[in-house]
Amino acid sequence: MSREHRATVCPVCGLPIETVPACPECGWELQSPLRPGPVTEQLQLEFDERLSRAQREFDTRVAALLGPEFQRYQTHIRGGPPSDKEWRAAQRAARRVTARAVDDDAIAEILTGLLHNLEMGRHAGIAAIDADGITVIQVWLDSFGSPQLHTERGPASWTDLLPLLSRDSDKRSFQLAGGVAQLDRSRLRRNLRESMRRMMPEPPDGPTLVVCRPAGWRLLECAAELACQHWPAARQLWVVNGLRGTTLPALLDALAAQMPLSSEYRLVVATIDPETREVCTGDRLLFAVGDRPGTQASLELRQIPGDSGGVAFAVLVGNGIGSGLLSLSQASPPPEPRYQLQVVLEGPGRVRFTEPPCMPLNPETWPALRDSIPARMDTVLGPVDLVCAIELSGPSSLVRRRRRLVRKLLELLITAYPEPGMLRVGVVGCIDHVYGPRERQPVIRGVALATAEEALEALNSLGTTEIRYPGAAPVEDMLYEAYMQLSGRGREGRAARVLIVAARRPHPHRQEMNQLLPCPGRYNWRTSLHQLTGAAGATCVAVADNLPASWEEMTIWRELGTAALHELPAVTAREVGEDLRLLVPHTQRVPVPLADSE
Amino acid sequence: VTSNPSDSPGPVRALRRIGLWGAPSSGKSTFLAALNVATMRSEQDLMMFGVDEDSTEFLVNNTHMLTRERKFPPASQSLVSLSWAIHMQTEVVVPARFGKTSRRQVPLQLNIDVLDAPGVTFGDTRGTASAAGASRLGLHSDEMSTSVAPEEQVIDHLSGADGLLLLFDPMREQATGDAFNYFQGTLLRIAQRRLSSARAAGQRLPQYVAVCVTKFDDPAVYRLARRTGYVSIGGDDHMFPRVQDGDAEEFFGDLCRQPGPGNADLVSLGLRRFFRPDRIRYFISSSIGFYLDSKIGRFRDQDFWNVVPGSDGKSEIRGPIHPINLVEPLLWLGQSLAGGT
Repeated sequence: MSREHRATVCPVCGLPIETVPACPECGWELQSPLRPGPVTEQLQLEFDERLSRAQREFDTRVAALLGPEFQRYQTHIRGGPPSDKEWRAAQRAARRVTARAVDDDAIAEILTGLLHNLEMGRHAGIAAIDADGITVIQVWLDSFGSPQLHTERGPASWTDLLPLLSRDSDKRSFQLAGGVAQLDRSRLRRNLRESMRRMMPEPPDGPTLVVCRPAGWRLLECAAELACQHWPAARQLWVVNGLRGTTLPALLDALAAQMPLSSEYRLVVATIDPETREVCTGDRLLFAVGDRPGTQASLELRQIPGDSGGVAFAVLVGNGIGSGLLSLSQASPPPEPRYQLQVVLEGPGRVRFTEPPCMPLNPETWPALRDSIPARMDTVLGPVDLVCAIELSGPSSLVRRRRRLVRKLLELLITAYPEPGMLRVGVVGCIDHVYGPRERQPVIRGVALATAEEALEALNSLGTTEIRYPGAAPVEDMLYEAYMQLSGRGREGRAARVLIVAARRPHPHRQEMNQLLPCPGRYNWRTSLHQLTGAAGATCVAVADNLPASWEEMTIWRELGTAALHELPAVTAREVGEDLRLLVPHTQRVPVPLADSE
Repeated sequence: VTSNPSDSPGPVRALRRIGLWGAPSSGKSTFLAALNVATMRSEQDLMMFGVDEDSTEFLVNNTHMLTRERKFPPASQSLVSLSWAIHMQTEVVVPARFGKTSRRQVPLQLNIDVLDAPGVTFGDTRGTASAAGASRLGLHSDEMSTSVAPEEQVIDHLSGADGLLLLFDPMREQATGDAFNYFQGTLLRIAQRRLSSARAAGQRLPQYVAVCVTKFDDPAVYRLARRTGYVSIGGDDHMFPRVQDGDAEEFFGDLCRQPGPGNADLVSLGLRRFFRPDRIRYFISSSIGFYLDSKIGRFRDQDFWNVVPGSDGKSEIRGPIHPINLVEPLLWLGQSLAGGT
């Protein structure tokens, strides 16, 4: 400290003084009446002792603000260690100064109230002034009602704000608490005013709060007063030196993260009308208003059979109009057709999918994903019965080819329908009618509705026979058998599917003008087909060895393949499965999860 | 035909021949083979037997083939002369007292001599004739060697016959359209033989002609007949459909008008031009008849075709044969010839 400065400040508190009889801050007598005679050694000694005591008491009061023990700051106390009496007096004074301060719980409550009462579209400001420095935080609610924090200014350390302060943290704390006697207080005040002018932004349009912590620290309170000058409407709070060891921004962040939801969080799902097969986009509640972080939610969802694509989990905030996308994640297709979605609310605006594992997806892809949801979904989701009708006559290579197609289809379906009872398969094979005395002999082989594995076994055991009647095959017998299987008891609620794999057209029901003999069993393939597609509600797909060239036969094949008609060499089992609406086609992929409702 | 128009007429022996005339694959061999079955199934008092070994063997073999093996007799590969006798009752006009006449049932033995010839023999050009190969009846090729060309034998046979049995296969006509070609060549040659003399000027051929429209059982023929309203249910136990003889000519005309490659209508016109119209009669016939569902024992319109493809690609017969209108043409010819005696 310079000689000039020493001459113009109070020797006890360092306040710059004018010609006044006593220091207006600490009351130290600056000008006593003149007395005659020289300043004796005794007088000097008495003055020194008085000044030393005044300085010690001043600094001890500062030390009492810093903690319950003064020893840590003893070196900064002028005039030596205080007596017990002096320390107790300083502690009493410190308690008086901090009497107006609030504790940790109170400040947490005040901050929670501030977060809770935030109005949408308004911003709150919090100036946090503490031993480390100053931080100005802006708080608002985002469009989903989640509180958002933004450090608008700072954090600025005291050493940056007030370069006069010591680099030593203990000494700086001592100075911040009021041990400023040895500092150039005029300069200190100028620096502080200038720093606060830099630190404080324009007052926000919402509530403002100036929090000073710890309460009673002289420089901190000065800064708070200056902050309030910038934010005249601000509520000023003094906080005891607590906050459970954390800073106010950290506390605010923790409180915001623990805020209960002010809006519902819902998961986008698709539903399929079982009648019209129209796909509707809807949502299911994940988290309700008032749910707090840590809340777990689970939803029962469905995977569309045979869908090898991933599924996107989109979380919307709000319900109906005004809802917005909160998060978008993607998961691999779950192995099971029914699966549980597990979600944890980590905080307002933050959800985490724990099951199935998800990867975040760019939210900008959501509009395209949403637009890609098909208008219809023909794939069956409920329990289904499939009858595979295979012509067993012909060259063995061709019959093997037919069987191979069915086998591959069944293998795909076994994977797509792992749930017991969800898929039943009947295998029906036919050999040729042999006209003549034994023409009424059965021509049907195979098994009734069973598990797909059993059907696969039966399929492999079906033999091959030679063609006995080139013009037609007993497809009509197979259709009748299929109808019998698909219209039997115990089929309530089960979808019906029929696959016809054959080389030749069915026998007609009646002898027409051509020379094709009618079915000796008198089955009418059209009647059976209508019963299948009508009463039984079956979807029929036909696969011909080769599509006929004649218009008449082509018409018959088109009738047989009401849902789709393929040529054996050109079709894959997957395509057949998709046309049977047992496997989801690529064009009808639903990228969002399916509600478990059908 | 020899008759004895006395007060108590005894059996008469028909000496006149009936010629079988038709295009290849018009069903001549099958017609002949089925005739035996037809006489068996006929309600008429008929009896048919061969007059020689070959004819009897033909009857036995082909009846067996049709009924047991359910196969069609192979087409004729060579000229075969066959002859059968049919015993029947027929009505003849006999003179009565005071210059009047009366009709009387008399037993009649109608002798049918048929030259079973391969269809190609009846072509319109001589170059198409062929008589190669041995007879199905076991005739040796040297037995067939003759100084007269086969087609000449056939023309001689037909022109000398008293009655003609013209087989018209509508299915063949639909496919090849050559009925008129085969018809007109033979017709003109018959006319050359019978009408070339000056005495015959202005006359027509004297033969009675029974036109048998075959393969009534074929779905295309039956369905057309049914669709155009010619079919009536027969009076037999099996309720087989028939085209009444009175409608047969009209139906034949409809068949001729069916879209096809040939000129079948000229057959009808040619017959009327060369033969006396009152000596022509049409019959809609089928050698094997319709399929009979043994379970219900009657004809079913939904399932009636009695032909199935065989394993060797040839057609086979599905069930028992029930010939339709095979006997009737012969009865009519016999009655006509007997009455005209």
